[in-house]
Amino acid sequence: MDQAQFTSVLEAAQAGAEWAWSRLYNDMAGPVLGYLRSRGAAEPEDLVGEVFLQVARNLGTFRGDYAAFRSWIFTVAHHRVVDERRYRTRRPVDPGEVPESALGMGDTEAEALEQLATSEVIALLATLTPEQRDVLLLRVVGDLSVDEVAAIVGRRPGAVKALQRRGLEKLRRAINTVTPEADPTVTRSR
Amino acid sequence: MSDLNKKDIEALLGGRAPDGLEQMAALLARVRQEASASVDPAVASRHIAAAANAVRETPVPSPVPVSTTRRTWRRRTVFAGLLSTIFGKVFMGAVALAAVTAGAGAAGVLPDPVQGFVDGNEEIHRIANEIREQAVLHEQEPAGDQVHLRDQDQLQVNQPEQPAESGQISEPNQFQNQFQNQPVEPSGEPNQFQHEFQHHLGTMGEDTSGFLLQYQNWFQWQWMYQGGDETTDTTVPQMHQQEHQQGIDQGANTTVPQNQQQAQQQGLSEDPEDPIDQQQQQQQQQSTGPSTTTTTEAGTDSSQDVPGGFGQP
Repeated sequence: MDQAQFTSVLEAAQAGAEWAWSRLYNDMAGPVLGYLRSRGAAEPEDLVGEVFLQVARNLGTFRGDYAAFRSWIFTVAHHRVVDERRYRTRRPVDPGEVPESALGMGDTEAEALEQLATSEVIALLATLTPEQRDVLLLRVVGDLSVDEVAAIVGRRPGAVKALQRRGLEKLRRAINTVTPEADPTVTRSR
Repeated sequence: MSDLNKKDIEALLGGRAPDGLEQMAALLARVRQEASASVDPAVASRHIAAAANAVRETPVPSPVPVSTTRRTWRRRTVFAGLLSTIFGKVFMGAVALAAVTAGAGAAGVLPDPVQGFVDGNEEIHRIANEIREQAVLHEQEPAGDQVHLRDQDQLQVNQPEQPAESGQISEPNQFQNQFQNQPVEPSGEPNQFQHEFQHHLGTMGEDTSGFLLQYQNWFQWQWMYQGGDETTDTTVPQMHQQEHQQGIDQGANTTVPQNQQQAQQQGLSEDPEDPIDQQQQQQQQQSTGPSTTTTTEAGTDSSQDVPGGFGQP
């Protein structure tokens, strides 16, 4: 979506046009959902709905281009993930409601990652620290710049660069350790 | 295994595969693939409708909020900001003091020096102009017309009539009265009043040297005119000279020595407390008029108004 198209869509979305919201949702919902899922959200699709609802309430005050809009949406998503993680930390899940497969993990993020066990990527991302995982997911999935990621996570750009370098180094060592001869590019069939 | 450099990191995050990092590039590609999962269409339509409704229900914020409460708050903030620093406090204090002084000056309730400064001290200017005029008259009178003034008592008694008959010398004002009450310095040194007067002029910002010279002349003339020095010849202003000439024409001699006047009064009443002498004195006054005293000296009759005194020289 170029800047001219985004401007017209944004004005229509601010007026409440449903077609404009459909355009914005189809363009941004996928990366947001992938980010939330990679971050270990329990109900990523519900969080996507909450993210867009929050964007709709504050869209009248938004000023900026398409890149700023993407950065803003990921900022809202990041805050939602942090809130959800705090909420689940204060209120542990009733053991009766936890699936048998999740018992024994003891970590909410591990539970979420277990639900996304269809991919080995999630297992590799679990080896990273939360800060490294945030930075790498926002850089790769959100396709955001270092400055935008720094604004979202509340760190300086230099710190973001250090986090992404350490995260990539750890992923590289994890790949060589777990599957020294395996080819990680081989995708398993679901 | 070497560390990743900056170029390799940028290439990996950009979707390219540097040499020796093919596995890392394949892993990041799978991460992007996992993140590109689409949302269920039913859930997506529900989310879109909820967002559109939320926009329509949210009031549009006005670009320029106009509120008197906000203006009051801003004004209060400005004053609070002014008073938050020491310079602001001093500035506000100076402004308040200037306003109070200006108001008090307009009402005329300030102390005399400050009020004089605020009013521009017009009284001093007026007195200075009068003194200058007298000094000019003093310089213009002929040198040959000089009158000896010997009797200080008569001068003091007759002094109130001088302005009434001269027409040019005004009533004694505050400064002249103060001047006459000050002890006279025969040496010409400035007395206390002169010092005060010079101080007043100094506060006015004028150059007091020329003015004090004129004022000194007027001061000496006044001092000698009052008979402070019997041996000093001085000149009398022309107006008083004319009055003196009129007095001669009317057969009235102006000058009566003090000792003679005292002797005359002693002849009338040697004992002021004697009722008989007082009765004789009253009868004599009734025969000669209520305010006229006749004296004879050197073959010349002199008559004079006792209350008015020396006004008819």
